[in-house]
Amino acid sequence: MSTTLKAEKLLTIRFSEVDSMNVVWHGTYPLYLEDAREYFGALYGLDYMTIYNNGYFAPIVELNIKYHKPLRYGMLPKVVITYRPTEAAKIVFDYEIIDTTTNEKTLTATSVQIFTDKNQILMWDNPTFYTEWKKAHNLI
Amino acid sequence: MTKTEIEEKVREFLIEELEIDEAKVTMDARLKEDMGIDSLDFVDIIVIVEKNFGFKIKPEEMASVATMKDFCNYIESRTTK
Repeated sequence: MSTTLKAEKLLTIRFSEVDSMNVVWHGTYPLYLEDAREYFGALYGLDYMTIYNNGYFAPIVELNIKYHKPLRYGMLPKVVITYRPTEAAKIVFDYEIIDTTTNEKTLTATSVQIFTDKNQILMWDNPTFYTEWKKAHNLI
Repeated sequence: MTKTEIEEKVREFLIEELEIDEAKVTMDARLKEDMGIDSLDFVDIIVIVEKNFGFKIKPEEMASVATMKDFCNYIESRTTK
């Protein structure tokens, strides 16, 4: 049995995040994606502190971004974050940033996180708590 | 599963699933230096091996595995146990 876990996070574009052309600087978007990950984590119980309290870190090892259209100050975007099920010991998310006024897609992205223990040793296999989390959400 | 079948399956998943250049996947190729496989790739390899060969790789058992040939021999040793 499989299910889709998804969340939507509204963004507020700060004045300090745009450049002199009133476009959100490309380096800002990973922070928006992190906001979405934190929101998803809080919603579904896969937040950084839960991971940490189970004895692990979950660093990003891959981040792919496609910038489709610029975001500008005053726009009202949202991040749609979707968990991509995987059997591997990874957390994979797909993202879309959508302008809620026009419903246009402005960005798509994918991130990959792996698990390390607190000595930063890579986990080749799924941590028990993560397997249990997948089971609890009908992902395996 | 014969040794040739193991080698063929390993070759197949390295090319198709890990997207390693076909020309680099030779029996003498070193996993890290020649094929560019790093520890992060083993997070996926462990799943692929379990699906294809029915056992789970243990990181400590990979310490002496350097080449494609070593890797296939290791799989053979685990599948014939």
